[in-house]
Amino acid sequence: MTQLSTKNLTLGYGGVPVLNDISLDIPDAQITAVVGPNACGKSTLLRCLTRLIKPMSGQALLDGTPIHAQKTKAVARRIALLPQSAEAPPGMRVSDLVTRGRTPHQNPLQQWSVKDEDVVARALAQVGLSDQADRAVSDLSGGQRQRAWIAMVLAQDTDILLLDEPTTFLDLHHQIETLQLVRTLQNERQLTVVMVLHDINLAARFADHIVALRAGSIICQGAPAEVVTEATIAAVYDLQAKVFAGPVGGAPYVIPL
Amino acid sequence: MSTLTLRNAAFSARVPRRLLVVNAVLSAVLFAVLATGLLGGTFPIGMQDLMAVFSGTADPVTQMVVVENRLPRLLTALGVGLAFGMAGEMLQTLLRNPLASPDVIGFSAGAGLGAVMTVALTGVSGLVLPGALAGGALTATLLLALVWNKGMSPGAIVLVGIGLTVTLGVVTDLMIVRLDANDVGELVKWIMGSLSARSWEDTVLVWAGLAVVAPLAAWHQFALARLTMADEVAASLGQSLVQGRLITIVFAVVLVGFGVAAAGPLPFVAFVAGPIAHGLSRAPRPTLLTAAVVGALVTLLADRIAQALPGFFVLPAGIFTALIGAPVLIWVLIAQSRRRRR
Repeated sequence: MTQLSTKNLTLGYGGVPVLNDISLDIPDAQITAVVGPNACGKSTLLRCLTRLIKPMSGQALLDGTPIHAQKTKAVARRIALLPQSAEAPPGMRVSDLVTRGRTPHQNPLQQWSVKDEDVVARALAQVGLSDQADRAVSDLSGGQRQRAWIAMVLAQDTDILLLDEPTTFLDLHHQIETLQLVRTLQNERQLTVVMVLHDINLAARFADHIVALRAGSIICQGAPAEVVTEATIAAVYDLQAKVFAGPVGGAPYVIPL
Repeated sequence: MSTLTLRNAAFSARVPRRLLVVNAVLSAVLFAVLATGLLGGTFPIGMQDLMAVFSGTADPVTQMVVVENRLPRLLTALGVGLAFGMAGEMLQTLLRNPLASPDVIGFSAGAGLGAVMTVALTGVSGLVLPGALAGGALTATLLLALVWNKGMSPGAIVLVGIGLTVTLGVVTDLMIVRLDANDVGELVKWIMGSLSARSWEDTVLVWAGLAVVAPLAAWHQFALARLTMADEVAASLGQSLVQGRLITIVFAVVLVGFGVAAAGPLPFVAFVAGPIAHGLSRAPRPTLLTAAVVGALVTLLADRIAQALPGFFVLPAGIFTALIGAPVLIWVLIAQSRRRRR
């Protein structure tokens, strides 16, 4: 069994299901991309894995135990979430934001241990923001801001990372830069990464495993070459498309017709 | 902006240097205001008189002025100011909106009405504290129930809360009209807020509340700081949202209840403390200690003005906290609309 899995999971808001009967095994130490059209339940799945919403039925499991039955703090030491376009509180500096990632390892009496200091410094260095630590988060450029948030998630020191549309609002350059950073960090620490992505081509290029959702159900899952085919693009997005073997590492590339 | 690392076996924290300096300066000013309040005034008292009072060898008049008049008044103002400043900072931080302070969104008005009603109904002032606490708690519950469907958004809480403040004010006015003139004089304290003629009972009351809540609030500041992040961030960092919010609101209601029971609502003290504290320290919210000290300073200064005016201008201190608060309210409103336009 993998670290993170779901069993017959049904999720929804106000009694209306958004995801139906999802059973998933998220591969350990790999990057999994969740793709699908708007409102297919991608983000809802991540919200459940961070305990923001409770299952209507079924379970989300961490190491075989239901996530919602575990202590909030214990889960926070295992799973970190990079939220979609989150804003830092006004006046917060980069180092403060990254330090917030240490929360599950802290308590009111121990808010800045030697370990905290080391991990925060390492996280800042990993995303290349060591020299920006004293700047206000609001003064950073879009790409830098995203890296600051990634540093916060890294400081949480978990082995599972959930990224909710990490490339939204970034230009092409920063999209690639961010995903390359995620790939590098994943390699270094053998992290289990789950990211929701809108761009199927970026998913095909940067993920090891793709889960395609539509209307609350899994259409198909597997390696990019298995999932990204003309047949599944039609089934998931209602879109006629051509799929080529891309020039970068042979990852499939989709061109809508 | 540099920070200072405080660390030993049992404790570690990182504090912005500027915040430490601001806290030190504000505390020094607070001490000076307390000292001049005790020593100067219309009946001048020197250091020697003070020493004599504490050793019990002072003349009866000096003894009475210091022990029965000035000390309880100053200590009550100090305690109430600390409590209101802390409560304001907690709610403003939780709701991420400087308008969301207990005196703007109805907690103080509710506590004031609770106090007035218990005194009017029972005829004695012994049950003021339970009355104020119940009034504040009922108002908070009503407010939360009214905004429940709106997802408890800060904007809705502020709007509905201002409505509650006005409504509760009308109810209080109605009660006053029904009472006879003698009782009304007694009740003014809980309607506007006043520090004149404080007894040791009031002092003990507010400091007992502080002794219980302040250490818990200091402990809770860690969680409150996490609640300033977006909901999904706070939750994924291991902070439980419902529990954290509930604790914050309960602490604010209790602090306001004790403060109102001792000295009345003193409008705008809770409201101005946070914005002034953060204008000075520029540290991210929450900074409970700084806001509490600012609240105490505002209260003591308002009371000093109230005492300094000539005799035929005898006005309760609550009038002057409102006078200090109104410009800050306008400043906050302008700053908010400017930020929205950007």
